Amino acid sequence: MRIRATTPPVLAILLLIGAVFLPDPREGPRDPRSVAVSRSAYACPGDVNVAAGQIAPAGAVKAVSLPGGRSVGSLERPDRWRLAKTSRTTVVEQFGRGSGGAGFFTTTAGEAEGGGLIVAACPPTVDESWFVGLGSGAKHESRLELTNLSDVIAVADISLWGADGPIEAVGAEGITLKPQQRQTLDVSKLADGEPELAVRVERRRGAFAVTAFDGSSRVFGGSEVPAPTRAPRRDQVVTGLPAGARNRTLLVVNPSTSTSRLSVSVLGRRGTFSPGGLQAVRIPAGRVTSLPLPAALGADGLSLRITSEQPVAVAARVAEAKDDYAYSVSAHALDGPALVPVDLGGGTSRPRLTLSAPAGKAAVTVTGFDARMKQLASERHELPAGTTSTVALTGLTDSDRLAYVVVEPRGDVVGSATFRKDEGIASIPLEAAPVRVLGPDVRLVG
Amino acid sequence: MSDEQGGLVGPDWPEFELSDDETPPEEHHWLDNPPTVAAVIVAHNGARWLPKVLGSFSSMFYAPTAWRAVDVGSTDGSSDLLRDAFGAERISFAPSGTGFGEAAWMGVEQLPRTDWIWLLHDDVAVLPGTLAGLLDVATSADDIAVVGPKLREWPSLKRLLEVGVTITNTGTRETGLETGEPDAGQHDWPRDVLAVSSAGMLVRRDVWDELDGFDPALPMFCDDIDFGWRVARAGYRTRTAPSAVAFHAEATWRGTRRRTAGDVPQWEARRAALYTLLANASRRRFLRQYVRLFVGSLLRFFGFLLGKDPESASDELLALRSVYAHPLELREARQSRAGTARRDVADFRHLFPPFWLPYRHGLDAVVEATIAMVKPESIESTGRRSSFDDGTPLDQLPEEQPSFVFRHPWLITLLALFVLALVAGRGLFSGPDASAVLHGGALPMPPDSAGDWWRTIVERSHPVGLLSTSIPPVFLVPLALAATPFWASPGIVVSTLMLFAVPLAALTAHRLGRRLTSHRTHRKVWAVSYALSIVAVGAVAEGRLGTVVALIVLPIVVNTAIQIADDPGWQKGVRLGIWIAVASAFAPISFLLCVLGLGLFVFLERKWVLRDAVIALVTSAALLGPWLAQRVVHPTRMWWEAGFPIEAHASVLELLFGRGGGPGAAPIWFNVALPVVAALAIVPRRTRHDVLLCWVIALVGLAVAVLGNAMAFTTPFGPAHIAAWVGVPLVIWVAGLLTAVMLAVPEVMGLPRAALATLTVAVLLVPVGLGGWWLVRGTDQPLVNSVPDTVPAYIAANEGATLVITGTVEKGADARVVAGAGPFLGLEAASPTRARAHELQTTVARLLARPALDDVERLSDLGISAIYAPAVDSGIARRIDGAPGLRPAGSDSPQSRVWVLPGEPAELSGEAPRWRWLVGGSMIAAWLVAIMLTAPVRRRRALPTLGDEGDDL
Repeated sequence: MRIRATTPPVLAILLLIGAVFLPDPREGPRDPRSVAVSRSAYACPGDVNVAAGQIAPAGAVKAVSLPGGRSVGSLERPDRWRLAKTSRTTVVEQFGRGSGGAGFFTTTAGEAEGGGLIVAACPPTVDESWFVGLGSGAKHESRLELTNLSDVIAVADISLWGADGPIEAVGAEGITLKPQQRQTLDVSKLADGEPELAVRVERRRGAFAVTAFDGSSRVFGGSEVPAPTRAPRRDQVVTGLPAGARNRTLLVVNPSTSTSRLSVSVLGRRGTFSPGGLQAVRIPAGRVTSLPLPAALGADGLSLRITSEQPVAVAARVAEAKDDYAYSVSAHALDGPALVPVDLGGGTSRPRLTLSAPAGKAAVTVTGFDARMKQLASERHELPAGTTSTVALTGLTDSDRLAYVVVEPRGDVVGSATFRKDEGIASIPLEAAPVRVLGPDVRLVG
Repeated sequence: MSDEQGGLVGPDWPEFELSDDETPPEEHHWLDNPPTVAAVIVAHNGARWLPKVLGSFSSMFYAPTAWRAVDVGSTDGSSDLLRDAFGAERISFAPSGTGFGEAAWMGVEQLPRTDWIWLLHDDVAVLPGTLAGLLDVATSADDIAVVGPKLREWPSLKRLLEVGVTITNTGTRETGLETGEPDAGQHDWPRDVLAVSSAGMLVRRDVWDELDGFDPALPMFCDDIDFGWRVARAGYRTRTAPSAVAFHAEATWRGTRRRTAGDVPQWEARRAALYTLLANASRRRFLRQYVRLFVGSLLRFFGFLLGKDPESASDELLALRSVYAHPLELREARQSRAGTARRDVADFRHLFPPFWLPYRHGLDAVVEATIAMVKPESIESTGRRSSFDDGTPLDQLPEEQPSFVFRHPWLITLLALFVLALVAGRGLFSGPDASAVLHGGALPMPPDSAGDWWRTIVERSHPVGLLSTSIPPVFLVPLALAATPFWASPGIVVSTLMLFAVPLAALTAHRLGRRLTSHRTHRKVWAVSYALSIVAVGAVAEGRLGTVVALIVLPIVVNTAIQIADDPGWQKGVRLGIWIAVASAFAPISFLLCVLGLGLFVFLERKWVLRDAVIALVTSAALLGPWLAQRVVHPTRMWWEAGFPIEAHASVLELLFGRGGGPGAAPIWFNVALPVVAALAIVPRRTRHDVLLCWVIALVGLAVAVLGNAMAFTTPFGPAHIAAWVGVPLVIWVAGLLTAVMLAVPEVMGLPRAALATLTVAVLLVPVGLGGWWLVRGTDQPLVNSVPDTVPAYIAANEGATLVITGTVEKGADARVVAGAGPFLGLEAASPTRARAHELQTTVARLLARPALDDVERLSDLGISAIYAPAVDSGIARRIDGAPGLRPAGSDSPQSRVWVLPGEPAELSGEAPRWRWLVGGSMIAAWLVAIMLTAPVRRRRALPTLGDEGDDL
């Protein structure tokens, strides 16, 4: 064997140089994966009209009222759009892979609570819920309703931020819920006299759902069950501020320990623009800040893109008159079909959809169904990039059998549905029905 | 007797001098009233020795008063020699097959009654003073009934054979002497013994009559021990007379006597030992002895088979059958002994060897083998050592002899490495907590007993979390074999391999080093550097047992290959195959490396070694069997070593300097000079060829390491994606460089002092730096010695398996199903069926996404009774919390959570086909057969005969 003396070291160097260019076989973080949902559960409050449905017929539905666990038969048909008037908190469990069950409720608050229209989604169990815009002062008062959906004890932690900074509330941590227990917490008992509050409800243990109720009867009237907004982030879209509203206030909480600069751009009917006075707005650390939106934004439906240096949670309070108000919140872009109730059993008008395409050109297909889940009509709406469109469902079909619509997105779409009844107004963000959900990428190891 | 009658008394005979001991006492000497002695010589085909034997009788200071010769069917002219010596009237003829005892009886009966009987063999020569010496002792006390001479070996004449004899409780004739121990007077004091050899035995006639002489059931062997035992029980004493010397050729024992029809078979020796022990055992100990000997004989049978001594194995079985198939004969023997017994065995227990002596002999054999391994090759081991102190005063050692340290530098180095390993492994040795075991990193805990490993090899389903029917890993076979002697503590084997990896690797490397260089210091430094490279790569601290075993074994592989190159032979090929299989079983990538190595070997040595290389390859492939097949189907699994598949990745610099990446690797700068010095080693022309060869081997290791470093493998459990650990090829790369340096060192000794000093520092940085780092860092972390905590103890005790979940929602979660306290070493490779694994994976994915009661029930159907999340991520915990039916339970730490599933977990079913145990059995059989094939076959061989040895006498 004849080898030149310099060959081996040179080969070693070449091998090592080669090693530089070879890939690192180690797995990085494994992104969450989409998993078909086989069970969805949500809790609807008592003394409301409940409407429940699904994207596809479910395997079975179990609805029980709390306390007592009495069956609510009218909500247990898995292949129907269902209506019921509940007297107690009702927990609905829907089984069947990919059925995408969701529930909504509507009511009109009593005079003492503001007397406005309420339309909201029945909340499922989530890890944490952020509510921005609650209060415990003269202008409006809020309460939280926690419902344990499981057979084991649940534990919740509540954090609050006010206009002057974080609030160390006594008794806000380690709130224990017995199995199937419903517990109402007046926000004023945790933090009294706060005109604007941001509340985070975190699930420490167990499975429970949270509903926030906000009502105003002293200075102005109205009430709402605001949907939870997205957890603090640097870039988000407050979706679907309804058309016609003129009194709009952006509520921002900066839970970080650093002051953040925030900019607002508006996704309007014709495109995106940056309104004056809402660029590089200073948001102090740990505080809730109210930013009135200028009337110059117009009366069209619109969405707001919020960018900030620090993660912030946002919501917008929208009022058309003094009698009622609604909230718009930061929502996920739709990653699946969303259920929008039409027939809520409470006499509300057909909702108007406010849809935005924040990331690029998008489209939605809106399909109407009757209570037997039979398709009635369908139409497609194009959404130019950076614009917001309003879709009135009155144009979809004139059939009075229309019970609900399914909004199927194509591209990035965020939106909301606005309901009206008399002077009342309510808005819910469009959220994908729980057909699939993100879960950790699971691997088996030896 | 005359010289013409065969007496060869002459100048060859050693000069006999009367020692002080033999000086007759002045008062009451037996010569004042000399006792009568009748001598009986029994001959059987002893013509080879008889001329000298008979000649030795002619010049005795004190001769027997009567003689009788008994010829037992001799066909070699022995009777003619006897007739010439004693006359026809003093000869009796016994038929062929007559035992020594019966023949002696025949002779005694035809002699006039005398005080003493002197029994002689036809292969026992005496000195002039032998009988006188015997009578000196015999007449010294009234209760002395038997006296025996000091027997020396014939033809060497100087080595001691026996000065009294006893028997161990396993049936071994025990003399208390070293093999080949020369007679320097060290045993020259009369003492009581259990028995003396019948060769030269002096027996009181009345005692002989009382005990009916030798037992006819013991025709050839153990008759003397049995007789001595009976003498002792009858209340008499047997004593040695060292002043009486006789020379014994041991013709029958050594097989040098010409055999004729009727001779006792070879297995008679073992039968006689069993018979003697059982016939004489006390009533209290008989049953225990009966069972013990039976079991012990069976073990000996298998031992002989393993040791490739089929003839001895056959003898063992025949002897066992002969004794145990004749219980009536045994009963009769015991009854007859009971009739003459006047003492209990306990009264003369001191005449038996201690109970541990047989085990000491076994230990001696192991120690000798070890010493032979570590001693310089020029030193050979001596035979079995004595259980007695030789009494040599230390101050008699020659003063000019160098000290022990200088005479055994490697042994001292090795001992130092063992001590360093003890220090580095501080905290990893089992302490007072018996449940603490060595585990951690890639190393699973050991099983409770070696039986668990054996069971895993043959069972049809393995009790792992999801029940497995997979074929067990092949490394369990050598592991179980090694752990069997430590049945209840198999962890000893694993702990020894891990904690003493450095001295063990140094040991094997040093033996290879002997073939590579004649420079002792160089090879010592080389061997130690190689051994420390195993620690430096990170294999030990990370619990990578596969790498450790492979790197301990690989020097043996190379050594065996070199032996084949020197002297080819199929047995060496098989041996090479076994060692390749051992390394590959623990670290499968070794197989690829060995195949490449064999290719290089054949390329270098040509056809000369081709056959043996093929044999080695086929043998290793056969031994690895299904294990290898799995690797062929999934080639990336060649990187999956014994133990948990724990990923690792090395940077380019770590590859260059032989570090595998991970928490256990040494800093790279200890090796920073090595590649440079190895490159410089190419410069000297005289060693360039060999140095370049080392570089080729090193480059093979580096190339495999570089490729492996960019690869990942999956296990049969699921989609796990594990970056390969490249410890084995990296150490080969380093070893190649070290060898290149070692070979070139003699060529650079003439360099200027400064250059030489620089090179020396650069080279010594590896062993000294790494050794210091090893000592300071220790061997632990992640390796630990503790109670395994895969799951909390109270969950492990529950019925059903535990689902262990780690990770986060954002970065991914890992799930493992654990039965009991977790899998022991070997079971980590037992995989569940693909369907079950898939079902578990999808169920857990749903559980951690949006759980439903269905998912919880499915887990229960999979035999899971609890979910355990150590260091739990809050996102994961919240999702499991949301699962209906799960009940949170107390955990062992604030960071962990436990949930209990409702109801009883299902009992998983499913077994491999009935023939599955055959696979495991075949694996075991294949290894045993291969090992037996490599051992040299032992045949009874005749020792040099008298004529061949020359006329020493």
